[in-house]
Amino acid sequence: MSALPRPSTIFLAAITSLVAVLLYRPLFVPIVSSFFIISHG
Amino acid sequence: MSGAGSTHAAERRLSQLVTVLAFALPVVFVLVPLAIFLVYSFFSVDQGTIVHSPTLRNYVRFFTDPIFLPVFWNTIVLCVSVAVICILLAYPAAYFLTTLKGRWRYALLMLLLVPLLMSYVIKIYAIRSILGLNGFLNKALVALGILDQPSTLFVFNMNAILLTLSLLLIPFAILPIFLSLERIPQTLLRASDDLGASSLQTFLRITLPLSLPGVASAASFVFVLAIGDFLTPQMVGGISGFTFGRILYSQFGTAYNWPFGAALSVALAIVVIAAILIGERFGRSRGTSV
Repeated sequence: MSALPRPSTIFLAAITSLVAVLLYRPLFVPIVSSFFIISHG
Repeated sequence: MSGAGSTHAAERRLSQLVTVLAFALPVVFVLVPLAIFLVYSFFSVDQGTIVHSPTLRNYVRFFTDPIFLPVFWNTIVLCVSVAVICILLAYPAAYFLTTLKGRWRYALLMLLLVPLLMSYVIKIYAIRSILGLNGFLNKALVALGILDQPSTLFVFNMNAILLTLSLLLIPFAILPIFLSLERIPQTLLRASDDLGASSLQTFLRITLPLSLPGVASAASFVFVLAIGDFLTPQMVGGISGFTFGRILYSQFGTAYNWPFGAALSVALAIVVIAAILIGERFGRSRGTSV
């Protein structure tokens, strides 16, 4: 792919980061939760 | 000489066997079950027992009952929306990947595909916790001042299904779009540059038309996966998030009406086949018209 203007690259990188966050956030929740315990009572 | 001849004959027999197996496996495991479902859809149920005499009652019920057609239509609209959201997010991401050089391109691609390896059910539970009243999304929107108080807009309704399916299926859209973008000949892009076209013109007149086959494949792929899903609506849909997959599930489960479930499956299969054919036809015509 040819070189893009800087604003376009920043925009695409931002969207890609958003997609990565959207994809990894649900993975992050159970991983973090696995280090906690539930206290009854 | 006869030894060489017998070796050739054995090789021929082996290749024939492999060919027969290659055709037999899809026939036995895909076409035969579909044919059985088609046959079942013409049967009926009487007091919990399947009556093996052909009838069109199931199809008449599907088309005349006020519940099924609206749910069917709503599910199609929902899945088209999921496909559109996935394409809108996946296209820029895939495009960005193709602008990267060397191993970074494939490393980042792998990074975006890795979430597929995690359990589907766990991801749905995690997304439900994000969309819930005390979830991350509500907290973020309240913190940003967009909402005054946490909203139930994102969980146990159609919005929740839309968001969850979109999050789950984005990787399935990224891959075909990435492959179609990567296959665009660099010489075309360089020629466009040499002829004085701007980046936007090059994108609109070369990159976008040539990547449309990948977009069409991604859209039909996401649509087919979304429309057949019953687990996501079951887990995040609540009472108001009722989709066709849930009706199908109930017919084969609690209602124990396999013939009617089979008739609904046939209707769903027709939509799925149509989506695949439209995606394939659209992709091929756009891909060759440039």
